[in-house]
Amino acid sequence: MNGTPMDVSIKPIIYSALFIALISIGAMIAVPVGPVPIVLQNMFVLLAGLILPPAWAAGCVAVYLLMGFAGLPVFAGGTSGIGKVFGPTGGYLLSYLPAAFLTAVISGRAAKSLVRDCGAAIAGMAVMYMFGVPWLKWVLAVSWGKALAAGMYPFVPGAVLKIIAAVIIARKLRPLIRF
Amino acid sequence: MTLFSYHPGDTLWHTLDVRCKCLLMCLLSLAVLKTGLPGNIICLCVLMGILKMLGVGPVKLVTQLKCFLLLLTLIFFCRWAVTPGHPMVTLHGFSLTRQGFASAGLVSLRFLVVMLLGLILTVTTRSMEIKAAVQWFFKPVPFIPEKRVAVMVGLALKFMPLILDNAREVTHAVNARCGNLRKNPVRRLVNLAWPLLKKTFQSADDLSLAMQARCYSENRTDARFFSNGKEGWVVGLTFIFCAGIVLMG
Amino acid sequence: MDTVLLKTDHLTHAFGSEQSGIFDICLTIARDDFIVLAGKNGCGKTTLIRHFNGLLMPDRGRVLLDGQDIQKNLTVARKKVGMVFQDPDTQIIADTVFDETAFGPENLNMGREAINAGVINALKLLGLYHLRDRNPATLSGGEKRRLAIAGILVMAPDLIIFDEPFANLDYPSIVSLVRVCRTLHRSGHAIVMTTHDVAPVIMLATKMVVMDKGRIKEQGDPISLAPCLESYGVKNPFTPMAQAWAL
Repeated sequence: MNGTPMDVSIKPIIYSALFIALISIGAMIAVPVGPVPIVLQNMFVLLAGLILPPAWAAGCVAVYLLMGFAGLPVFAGGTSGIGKVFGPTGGYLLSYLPAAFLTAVISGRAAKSLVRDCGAAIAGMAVMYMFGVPWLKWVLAVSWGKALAAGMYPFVPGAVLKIIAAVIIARKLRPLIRF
Repeated sequence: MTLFSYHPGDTLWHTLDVRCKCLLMCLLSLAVLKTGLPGNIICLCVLMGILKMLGVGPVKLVTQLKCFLLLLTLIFFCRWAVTPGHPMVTLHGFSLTRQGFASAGLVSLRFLVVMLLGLILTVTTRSMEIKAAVQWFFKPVPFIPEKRVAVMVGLALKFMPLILDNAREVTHAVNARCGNLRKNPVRRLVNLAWPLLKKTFQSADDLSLAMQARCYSENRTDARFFSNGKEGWVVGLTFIFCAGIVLMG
Repeated sequence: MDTVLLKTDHLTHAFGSEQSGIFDICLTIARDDFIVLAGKNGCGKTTLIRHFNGLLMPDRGRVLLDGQDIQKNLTVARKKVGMVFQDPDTQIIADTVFDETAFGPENLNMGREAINAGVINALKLLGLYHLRDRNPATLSGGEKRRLAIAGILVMAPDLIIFDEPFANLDYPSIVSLVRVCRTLHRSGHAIVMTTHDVAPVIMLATKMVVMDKGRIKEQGDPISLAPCLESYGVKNPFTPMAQAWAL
């Protein structure tokens, strides 16, 4: 039952809230694939970028981070607080903001081509590791090799899977969503 | 219900004005980051005492925070292993230093204390109140539509348990038809996430109708804050406490 | 005061095809009516009631509330026509029972004192006052449904619309919900209820409207209409289920 012109103002708010919720609990939904279970959190960040317009995508990640800073239990494992951001995984959390924005900008507005969506998702995922790994290196005070071994290599297969899945899901989901 | 949810009660910490609680948390977090090992240990003891009063004893803490504590241990050993200095223990030509022990201890202790601070806030405060406080703090900041942010936060909090329930249902429904035997990991990911998102977005559409039916507007009645009149004392004492541990460290 | 509360005038909403939607609906709702809108799934009941508070706009025809076209002032229409949706989980917004009930009046930017008084009143009326600090997610199905009613009752509507209120409820919850409906009707609210199971409310209703394929097929006294229900895919409340199976 859609189709009224009234929905315009409220729909993006609800969809953004939905993505905030998805990103928050993404860490709790694990799919057992191989030795390392895949956690859906960063896939939802990519999806937010693929589905929402850039301003809303960045806005929803910003509100998510804000909720975490303010002490609402939205970070991985139901934790929160500024301390979490300064922890070893803080870089990944902060990277969601540019990642979602970049993905949304690249995937563009109208005419969503498959190539563009893939490019956008890959760029978004790259941004996450570009922020996440140096941060990890800095907090743990380890060498680049160790930081990459702990913070990137084990997750590369999962990241590739998530990029593919995010693009497939985004393309299936778009017809359902009307702003 | 996890540890990180609101536990009803009427202690001093429950009745304190939320805005005041948020300020205190920021103040204490900063003090903890500035102070050294003794200050952190004192702070930790005080926080554990407060948590005990709130009905969250040390045993409950350890069992519920297993993953977090594991991560802390990891950080601890990482830092201990890489900091140079006088060797304390030597294993197979690999030495763990005294300086490393001190700095690793300090860093992990800081994380723990800041985490406990967040825990005290979430245990004593309804998420709606935190939301209202955030909205209040953002009122003077230009370019941020604080009411819209507040609505988004409220809705996101509402969606979380709903999505988790849906995720459980979908997992069961997929596994009931042996979806867990699928070899292709992409298919497995999509099989789980697609029905979940489809269902969630449909309920989002329903929600937007329900909100319109109840005249949703951004020009809403403001939230009201309750205070117990002891804010001045508590802030004062916290200031002295912070100054104390910062000077000591 | 005029006894006609809401009137639809040749209302048509086609969704771009002849298969779904509603066609040429003329319906009058009086201030003291309790209307049961019966019909099988997909007959257009939900589409029709979503026109009553302007969630959907008609392709042709109008909806008049107190003689005024509702498109003129949607906020007034939504305040006067309260709607309880099918799935209570999707319409609950806040994280305590009290805040959830206060959501509507807060949207209308009412004063805090008036809101508190109204909310307490509505919660007491529906027997939810002792649960005011609970998270709605932890309530039972029946309690959630009553909370949804409280959330619209606090806006003092003239007409309350229930969309399939008995779906997914156990027997005690159905009984208590019917009691609530009776109380609301007696306290002067007009009620419209869509359902494909008319049994729980047939004795309370003042009028029954039967829909099929987007059109009104029958309307009139509920009990005398009961025998013709089965030809429109709705169970006759006076035939036992065992007898229906034996046929």
